[in-house]
Amino acid sequence: MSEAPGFTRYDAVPLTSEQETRFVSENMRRVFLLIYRIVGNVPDAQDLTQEAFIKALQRQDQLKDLDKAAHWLSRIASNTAIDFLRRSGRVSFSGIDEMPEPFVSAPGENPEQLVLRSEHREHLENALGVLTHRERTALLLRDVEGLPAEEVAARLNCSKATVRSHIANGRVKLRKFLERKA
Amino acid sequence: MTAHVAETNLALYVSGDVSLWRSALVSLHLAQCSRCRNRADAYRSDRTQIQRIASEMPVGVESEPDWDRLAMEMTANIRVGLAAGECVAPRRRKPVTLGWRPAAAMAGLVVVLASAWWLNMPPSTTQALGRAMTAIWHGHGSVMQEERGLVVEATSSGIELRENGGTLGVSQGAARPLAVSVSVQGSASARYINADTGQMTITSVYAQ
Repeated sequence: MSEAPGFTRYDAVPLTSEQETRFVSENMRRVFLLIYRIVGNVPDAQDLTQEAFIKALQRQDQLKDLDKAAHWLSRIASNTAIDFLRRSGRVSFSGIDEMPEPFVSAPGENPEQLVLRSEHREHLENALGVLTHRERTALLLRDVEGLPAEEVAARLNCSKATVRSHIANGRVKLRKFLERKA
Repeated sequence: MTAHVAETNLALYVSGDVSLWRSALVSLHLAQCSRCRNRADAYRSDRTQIQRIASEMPVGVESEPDWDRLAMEMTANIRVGLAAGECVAPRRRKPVTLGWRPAAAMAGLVVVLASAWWLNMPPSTTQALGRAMTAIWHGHGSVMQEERGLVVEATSSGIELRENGGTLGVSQGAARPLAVSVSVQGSASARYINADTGQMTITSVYAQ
């Protein structure tokens, strides 16, 4: 994953209190989304995002290359989420249905487009929900985080061949689900 | 036309996750098979869709105020977590290293203070201290009070007091002391253990 433009570059660790606050605010949305896509519900994603930042800031002396702070944080975040799934042995999507749907439109978007976008997204969310957590995590790390299969294998603690199998099965399942619902 | 490409191979082909050889074979096949080409396009489209929804906030926090509220709550919890972590296991900070200039200044200050302390002591005390240190240096366990002509000495058989050529020994019969000790204040002690009863006797002599 590439460093987002405009993100602060740090000269040394440990970070000052002010730098820590900036580090958290600049990366929070990205980390939250990554974890949310892996665990599938907001309350767990919230807890795990906090846990990931606490781990990262407590272990900042382990950060060797300051230019790779965002990548390093992503690794901590995905490992935190994967560990959570391993510990709990489940993936809950109940949070999605329980949350109220806010009526928010993007600039220049009419109500019909808004409904379509919302339905389409829900459709994709449901499609991701039919994958096993390993398939979904492999797919997200490969397609969204842009990690090579070797790195995904390292994070999932399995072989590259297994990761390829997870990715292929995940994409095929996703496609079949979308075609069935179309 | 050859058989269609397997779905799993097409799914991996679109992200470059197949070997070069297989990739070349699939490319050749797609050039002449519209069905497989459409399947590959569908997989490409799915990847793009996933990337797009992955950047969207989930239902419930997709409005900025909702996200801001959640972000503030998480930031506060992170601060609390870090503070709690500090209490349980203080973070290791870089050890403070002293430069050679401050170190030399501090060493000089220590020498000045030690000299001032030594010079301000009464002469009798400094002499006694000097003698005691010399005795310790040479391995003699004795304390002498020369101004009174009295010598208190811990020996292998007990404690002896010598004055004007006369000697008074303090011992426990034929028993040998387990340990003898002297102090710079002018006292000597010997400890004996009775082998039969295990009783310990401590004899202390103070030179006044």
